[in-house]
Amino acid sequence: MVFFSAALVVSGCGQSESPGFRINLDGYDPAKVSQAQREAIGEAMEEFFGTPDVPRVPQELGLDAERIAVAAGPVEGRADGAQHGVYRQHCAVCHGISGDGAGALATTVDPYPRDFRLGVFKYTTTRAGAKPLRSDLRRILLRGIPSTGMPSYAQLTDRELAALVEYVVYLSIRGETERYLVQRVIDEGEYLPLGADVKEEVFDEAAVWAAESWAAPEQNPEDTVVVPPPRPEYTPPQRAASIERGKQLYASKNSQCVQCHGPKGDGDGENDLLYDDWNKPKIGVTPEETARLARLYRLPAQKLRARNFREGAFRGGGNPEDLYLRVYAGIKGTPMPAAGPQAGAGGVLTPEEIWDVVNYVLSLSGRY
Amino acid sequence: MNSGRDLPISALPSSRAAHRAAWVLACAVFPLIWMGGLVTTYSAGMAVPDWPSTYGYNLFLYPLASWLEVWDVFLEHGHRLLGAAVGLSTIWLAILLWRRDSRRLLRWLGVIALGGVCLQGTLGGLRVTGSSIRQMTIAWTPAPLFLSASAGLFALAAQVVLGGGAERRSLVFWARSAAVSAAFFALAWFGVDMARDQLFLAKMHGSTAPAFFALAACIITLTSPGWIARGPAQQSASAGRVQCLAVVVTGMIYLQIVLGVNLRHIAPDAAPWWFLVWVWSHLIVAGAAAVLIVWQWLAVRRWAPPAVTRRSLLLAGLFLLQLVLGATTWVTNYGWPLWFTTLILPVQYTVVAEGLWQVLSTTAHVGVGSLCLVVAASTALWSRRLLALPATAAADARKTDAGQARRKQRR
Repeated sequence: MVFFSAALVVSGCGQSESPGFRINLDGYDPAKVSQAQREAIGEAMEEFFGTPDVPRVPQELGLDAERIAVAAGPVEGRADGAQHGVYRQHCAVCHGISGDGAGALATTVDPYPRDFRLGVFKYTTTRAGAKPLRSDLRRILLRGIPSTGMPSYAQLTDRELAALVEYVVYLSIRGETERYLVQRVIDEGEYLPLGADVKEEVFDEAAVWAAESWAAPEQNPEDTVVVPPPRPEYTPPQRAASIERGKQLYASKNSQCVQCHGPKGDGDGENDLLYDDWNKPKIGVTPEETARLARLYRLPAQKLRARNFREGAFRGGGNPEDLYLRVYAGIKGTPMPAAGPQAGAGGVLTPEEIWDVVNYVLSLSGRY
Repeated sequence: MNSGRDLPISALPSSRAAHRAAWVLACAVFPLIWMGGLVTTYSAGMAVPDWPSTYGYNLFLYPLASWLEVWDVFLEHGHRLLGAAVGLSTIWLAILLWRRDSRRLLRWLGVIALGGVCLQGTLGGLRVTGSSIRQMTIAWTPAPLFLSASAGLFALAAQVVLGGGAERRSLVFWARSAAVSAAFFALAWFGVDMARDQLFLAKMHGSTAPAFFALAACIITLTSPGWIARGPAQQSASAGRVQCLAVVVTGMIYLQIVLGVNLRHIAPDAAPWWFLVWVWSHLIVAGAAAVLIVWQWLAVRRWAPPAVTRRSLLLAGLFLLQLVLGATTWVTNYGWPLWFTTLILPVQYTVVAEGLWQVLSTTAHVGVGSLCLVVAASTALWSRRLLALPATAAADARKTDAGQARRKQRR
């Protein structure tokens, strides 16, 4: 009975009954944000996007409300096996209810779970600066990300996968809108309570803009989507020559590979102070500044490590085509640059050269 | 040493039937715990949205074809059916103990088991219907206050009606009545609050199951012929320490289970450090329990009766298996830890949500954990029964003789 009573007490810890979206005040001193400002932001965001249990999907955003309804809300089953609340069931514990990447498990995984609110996703088939395709998100869900906490959800049904992808897009648009609203209210000192005209302006300038940038690669794939050309079929001497060329390109100053990945691809380059876009704002010029900034974020700063090619674990996928895309389009939100030709500009490497680098990297990992 | 099997049934304070019923109960509870683990792993708890019915059908009359059609419904409805079987077994055991066991402790253990199974069933049911209660309290905010006030007023009215006329005039009567009413109010408030919180209910449901399993195992031990017809206790100066150690080990394993339950049912919007708190607590208690379990085995292995040494060894083996399962559960749920891949072996692994290894290791970790608790509790009981300090052994023997004489007289 004593043990059981203790269980009752222990189990009451860390509870939260009705999860809501958390206002994104990352980088702001909480003491300097008034209650009125918080309430104004919270109310406007609820008006635009609803709550986690009852999401609102404005028509202007072009999102699939039915799919979002499947992903949102508490976990529920149906007699026909249709699952609801799939985001909370599978994703929220890492990515958080708000999609802020600061769920309960966040501090135990490296890298941190993705914060969707920046609208930036690492492994995409789109050019630098473009939003991913929905099929990019679906591929990550299906494959998972090796050697990270991101599982493969290959066991889920198509309906559940589509619902999750749509909900991630919803959270991302919501997050970008919220950030814009927060800047208007706190940095620009918008008059409170927010008028209908201000809300409308925020919605058009942020939410609709974000939705359009999501729709762009789907509507104009020829401008934004990178399609790897077929990999040349090499004879053994050609393959050796390609690897050798790749080795030289890898070592060249122009490609910048060595700086981070090291001369032998061990991930021990000179540039070891690597941070992604989610962690960069947490780093100050001085240690004191960094310590001060750390208090303004939910998660402490986390360094990136350049990939050690000899381990053979490629997070965005280990196929030659996946590696081609990584070299061509870079890894968004990270110091890994896009080396392929971009719209209106020649790249650092030509498609043929990218294949050479890919062949060299594959040879380092023992896969080629 | 006498064996209970050599004694006529009439000489035993408990019937063999109760002993068998306790075995049946424990054998039903163990798969029920596995099934419950699977329900949680697959998040199938809400696959059947009503309770105690299943999609409007009586629990026992739900069509077989519908039951087998959908995996989540199969799990949840199967869990309920097995739970119902456990409930019936508990009722039968409680009746047998009440009617046939002359020991007060055993009779009340039967009653506690009955209460436990009712509590567990209610927790499971509320886990399903709690969302309705939550919706009700959202729709009508004063609902918790109304329900709690009703409970308090009902308690007050009952006391006033039942209290005598003279008693009603005393200040003590009104003070006591107010205190009881306030307690009812607080209980109802707490109950409604908890019923709304599905996560808390899930944690309590997960913590009650192993405790109930351990209780069933204790009843098996206490009704066993070997327990009833024990011989003289083995005397040793370290008996007290071993007995104390066995109780501490049992407590630590239960604490470990509760920590594991909290780890498993972490709120998705809990602050990120909460998970770390549970993980580190779980690891620290696991380490401490492992040390104590090894210590317990080393302390008894040379001199204690086989009933104690064998169980201590079994516990050590099970706990080792549990540690391996714990590590596997981590890897299959969260991948290899970074320190392992960078410092020890650069292995790569992609976690597969609801994959075979994830489901098997996680559920086995839950099942073996409860088995560890059962063996620890059994070891604690047997070390209490079979070991004694030299000074107390004689007095203990006299007490036992007197007790047996009294029982004989009563019969």
